[in-house]
Amino acid sequence: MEKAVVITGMTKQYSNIRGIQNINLTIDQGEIVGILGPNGAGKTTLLKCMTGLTSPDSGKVELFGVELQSNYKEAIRPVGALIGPAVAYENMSPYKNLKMISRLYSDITDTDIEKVLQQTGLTPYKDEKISSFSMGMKQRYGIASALISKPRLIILDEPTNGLDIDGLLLLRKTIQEVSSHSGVTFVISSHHISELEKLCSRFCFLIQGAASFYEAGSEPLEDVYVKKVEVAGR
Amino acid sequence: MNTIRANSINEIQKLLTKKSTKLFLLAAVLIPVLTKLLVNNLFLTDWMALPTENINFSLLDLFVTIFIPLFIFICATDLFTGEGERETLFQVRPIGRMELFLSKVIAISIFSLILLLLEWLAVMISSSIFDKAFTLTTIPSSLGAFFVSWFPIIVLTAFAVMLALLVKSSVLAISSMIVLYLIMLFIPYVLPSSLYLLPATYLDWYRQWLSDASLQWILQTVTYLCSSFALFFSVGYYMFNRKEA
Repeated sequence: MEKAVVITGMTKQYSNIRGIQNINLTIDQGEIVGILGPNGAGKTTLLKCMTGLTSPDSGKVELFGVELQSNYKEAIRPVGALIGPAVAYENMSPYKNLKMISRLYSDITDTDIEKVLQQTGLTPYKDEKISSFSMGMKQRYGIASALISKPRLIILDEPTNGLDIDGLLLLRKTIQEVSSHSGVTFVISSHHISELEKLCSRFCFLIQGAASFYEAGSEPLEDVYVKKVEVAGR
Repeated sequence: MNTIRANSINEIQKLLTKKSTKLFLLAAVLIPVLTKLLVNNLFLTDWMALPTENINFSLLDLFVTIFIPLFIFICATDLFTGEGERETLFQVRPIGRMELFLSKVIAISIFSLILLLLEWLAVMISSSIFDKAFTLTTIPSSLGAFFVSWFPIIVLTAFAVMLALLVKSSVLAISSMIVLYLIMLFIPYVLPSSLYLLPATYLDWYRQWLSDASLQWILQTVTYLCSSFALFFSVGYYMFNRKEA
């Protein structure tokens, strides 16, 4: 099985003492991994370090065998991500925003843009300015922007933020479809335990910057999470 | 190279959607036309005393010392400080930091060239309509003057980008750019020896090209402008590369 992500000894410390310490994480191609942890535990920091948005103080990230720090462009090419608020130029439409993204890849066609707009339910709004969108609609655009490059690894940080029930169901369906049809690997960070439980086969608990792992099993995820947090302290 | 070209197009598209850009493009056309109309048709006798070419170069001065620097400050603030504030500066895309930085600088520089060319076209067309003394022989020298004016503007772009990366607030960025630019314009009146050390001094260097540019002067000035660009660009890139999303 090809390794989609290999993180070795990653540490990132901020001046407020928060951050992540000595994270080691391996994710196989096709896995859906959930990242869980209290606020400030380092989930977003981990995802930012995984995608080169932030440089770790130490440690190494390999994506599909390519080292991120030394070969950023090649390593990041098969990756789609939504980290934090959706990155969009708000005085442009979702179609134009996706068109701009497509220029950075050699194989994205206009049909691909239409398809991803359809997948995220944005087709009726594709020519409206993103500034007129609600938070949930912007989040849908963010998910579309993560899917557009036909990535082999998709990293989503709090993808359910602001989504209505329709959006939530659509997101779940899209993740399940993309994962089963194309074998895409997902790394999803969320506070929605029940949503992660429905999607993920493995979980990474980040508590006080340290990581521990749990394979999906018979015990409810919420109970496992509470125990982990109680043992480690908030 | 393809990535730089693709992202330069993206940055140009972003700038084009801004109202301020459209306003500057409109001003580049309207100001020369209205000036010519006023001077030639509304009997402004003081202005009529000026030869046509002088009015054309006064318009160029207005653009290279006021309009285009202001446009550059707005663009640099928007593409760097503004995007930093809106968290859109860095994305998970196959583009290196240098390519991203360079394509933004290229986009601003291309837009300043477009503004200059638009202004030149407006000046020439309105001259041919309104100026009785207009001759085709003025075209090469005026085009040359407009074109050489672009080079110190590129240096000013690198300067503005460097300042845009020094601060985290758009308001602070644009106000510090304007204040520093005004200081650069007025400091030679207090310290005349500083004149040749300030990039803003060279914005109207086309005058020298049109008069008695010696080879030594060209070499000295070009070397100074290239060195200033390299310095501002390098410091700007250093700060850009250190930024984290």
